[in-house]
Amino acid sequence: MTNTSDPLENFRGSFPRQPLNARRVAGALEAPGCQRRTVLDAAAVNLDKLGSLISGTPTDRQSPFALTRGNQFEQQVVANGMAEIVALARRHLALEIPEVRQHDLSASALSEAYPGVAGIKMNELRARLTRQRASEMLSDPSHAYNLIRHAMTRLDFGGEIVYLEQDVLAFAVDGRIHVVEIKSYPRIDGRADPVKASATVRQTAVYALSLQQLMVEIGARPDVVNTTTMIVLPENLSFRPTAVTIEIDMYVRRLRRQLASVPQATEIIQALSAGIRLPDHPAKGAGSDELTTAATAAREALAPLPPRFTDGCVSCPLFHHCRDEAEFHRSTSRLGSAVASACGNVTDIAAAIDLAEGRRAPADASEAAVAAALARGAAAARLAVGGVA
Amino acid sequence: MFFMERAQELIEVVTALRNANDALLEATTSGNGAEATRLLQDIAVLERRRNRLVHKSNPDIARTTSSYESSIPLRDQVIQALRLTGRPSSSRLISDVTKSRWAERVDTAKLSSLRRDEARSWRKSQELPGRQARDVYVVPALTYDRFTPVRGTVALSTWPTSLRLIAPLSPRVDMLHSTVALAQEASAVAGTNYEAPMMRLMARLGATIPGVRPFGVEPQAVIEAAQAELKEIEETDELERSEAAARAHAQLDAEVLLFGTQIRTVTSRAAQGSQ
Repeated sequence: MTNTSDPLENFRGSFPRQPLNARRVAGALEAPGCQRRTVLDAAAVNLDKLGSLISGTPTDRQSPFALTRGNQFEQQVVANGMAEIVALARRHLALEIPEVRQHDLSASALSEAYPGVAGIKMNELRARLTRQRASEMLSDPSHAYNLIRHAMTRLDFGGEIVYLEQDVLAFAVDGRIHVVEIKSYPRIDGRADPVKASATVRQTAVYALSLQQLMVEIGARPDVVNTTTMIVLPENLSFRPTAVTIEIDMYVRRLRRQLASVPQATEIIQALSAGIRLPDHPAKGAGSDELTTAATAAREALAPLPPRFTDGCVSCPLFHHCRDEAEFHRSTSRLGSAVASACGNVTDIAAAIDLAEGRRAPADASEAAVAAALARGAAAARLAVGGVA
Repeated sequence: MFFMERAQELIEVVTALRNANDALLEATTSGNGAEATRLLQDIAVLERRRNRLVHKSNPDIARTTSSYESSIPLRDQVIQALRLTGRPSSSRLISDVTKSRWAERVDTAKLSSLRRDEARSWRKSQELPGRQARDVYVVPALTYDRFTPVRGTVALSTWPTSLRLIAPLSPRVDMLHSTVALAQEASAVAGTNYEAPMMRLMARLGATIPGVRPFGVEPQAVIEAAQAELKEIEETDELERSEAAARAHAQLDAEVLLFGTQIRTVTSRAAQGSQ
C-alpha cells in the first residue's frame, strides 16, 4: 500500500496536483463505488481545476466571506487559553478541572520556534510532534497535554500520504482521546443544517480514523480514540460557541472499509489502455481554442472511467459533467438515486418508460419485476392525474 | 514659564477655533459649500491640537475616545494593558482590554514589529554603556521547555522569569489571573463610562469558569469562581514554571532570557528523523 502509484502518476501527467485533505477524503464516502472519483482522488488530481476546465466556467468554491467568518469564529473559540473549548470539553467530554494542559502545534506557532521550516517539512515536523505527544498520553497520562491545538495526523489513501490538521484533540487522564472539530455554520434552536452536519460528521470520521492509525503505529489499541466527537458551532445567530457530541463509530468503520478498497484505483487504471492521461492544464490567459482542446482531451480521458452518478454527487466538482453525461445516455440515474434504484438493472429512461407502459416485453425475471413495479406506478399516476381532471 | 507658554498657545488655538466656527456658520447659511468643506477640515485639525494641549497640561483629564485622535503609542498601550492583566497575554486579550478599559484601538498586526523593535532597543542599550536602558520592555512569553517565543503572547521584562514562561497549565492559569484582575478593575471603574464594557469583557471571560452564571454576573462571583479553579491547578503550574525558570537562569544569557531562543540547528535533522 505504500508503493508509489506509477500508473496513477502517468494518468495525471502534468495536470495540477492537489494534496488531499479531510474534506476530500470524506468525499470518498459521498461517492461510494464511483470508479471515476476513486481514480481521480488516488491520483491527487486537482478536481476543482478539472471541473472548471471541463465545464468551461471558473469556479471558486468557497466564499471569502464564509472563510473569514469561519476563521474569526475559530479564533474566538481558541482565544484566552482555549477558554471556550475548556468549558465545553468539561461539560460534554467530562474533562476534569485540572485537565487543561494545552499545547499549540499550529504551523504559525511552530514557525516561531523552527524558523525556515515550511511546506512538507513543516507537515512532517508537526506529524512527528503529534506522535510524540500521543505517546506521552499513553506513557505518562498525568503529565501529558490534555488539549492539543492543530495536531497533525497522517492517513494512507491509496499509497498517497494525506496530512490532516485536527482542530483540537482532547485527552482525558483516564485515557480517552476525543476529536474536536470547530465549524462556523450555526446551530439554530438545537438543529444544524443537516447537509453541512453530515459533511462534518464524515470529515470528522476521517480525523478519527487517522488518529486510530497513529495509535496503532505507536503500539496502542485503536479504541483509545473515543469515537464520540465534539463539534463546536455558533449558537443560533450569535457568535457564542455551543457544542454537540456525536457518535461516529459507524462512519469510521465505513470509511475504513472504503479506504481499504482504495488501492483498486491502480487496478482500474491498469485495466484500461495505457495511453489514457489527462491533458496539461492550459496556462493562465490561454486562448479559447486551447481551452476547448484541453477540455475535449480531459473529457476523453475521463470517458473510460465509469462514474456512478448518485444524489451524493452534488458536492463533487465534476457534478455537471457527470450529470450531462447521464442525461446524454438517457440514464435513469439522472433522475436521482430513488428512481435509479426503483428501476433496478433497467438503466435507460426510454426502456423504463416502455416497460411501464407495456410497450416492451421484459427480457428476464428481474426486468419483469421492475416492469410490474413501474406499471403499478404508472397506473397510480394516471389515476391521480385523471382524478384531478 | 513652560506652563505659561502652553496656556498661551491653548488660548490662541481656542480663539482660532471660535473664529473658524463662526465662519463655518456663515458659510453654511449662505450656501458656500466649498468654503464650508475647507473650514470643517481646519476645525478638525484645530480640535485635535486643542485636545493635545489640554492633555499635556493636565494628564488626568480623560481622553476623548475616537480612535483617529489616539496619540498614545502602541508600546504604551501594550504596557498599560499588560500591567492591568498582570500575566502574559495574547494580542487578542490586549486589544480587548484596551478597548474596554480605555476605549482605544490597538493595532495587533503591529505587535510583532513592536517585539522586534524592543529587542533591537534592548541590544543597543547593552552595546552602548552610556545609553540608558528603558525601565521595561515588551517581551515575548517563552515556552517552558525550549524557551522559544510563544506566538502572539507578550509579557513585561520586569516580571519574574517564571511568570514569563508558559508551561502546559499556564494558559489557563494566566487567563484566570487576568480575569480576576479585570473583575477587580471592573469594580474599580464602577460609575464611569468604562464600567459597562469592562463588565462585558469580564463576563465573557468568566463564563468559561465553572460556577459562573452566564448572565448578570457580579465581579465578586467571578473572582471567587476563578480562585476556586486556581486552587486546583495553580500549584502544579507554579512548580513547573519555577523549575523551568531555574533551568533558564542556569542555561541562558541575558538576551535569550528576555527574548527567547530559536531552534536552528535541530530543524533539518528533526524533519528527516520523522521518516
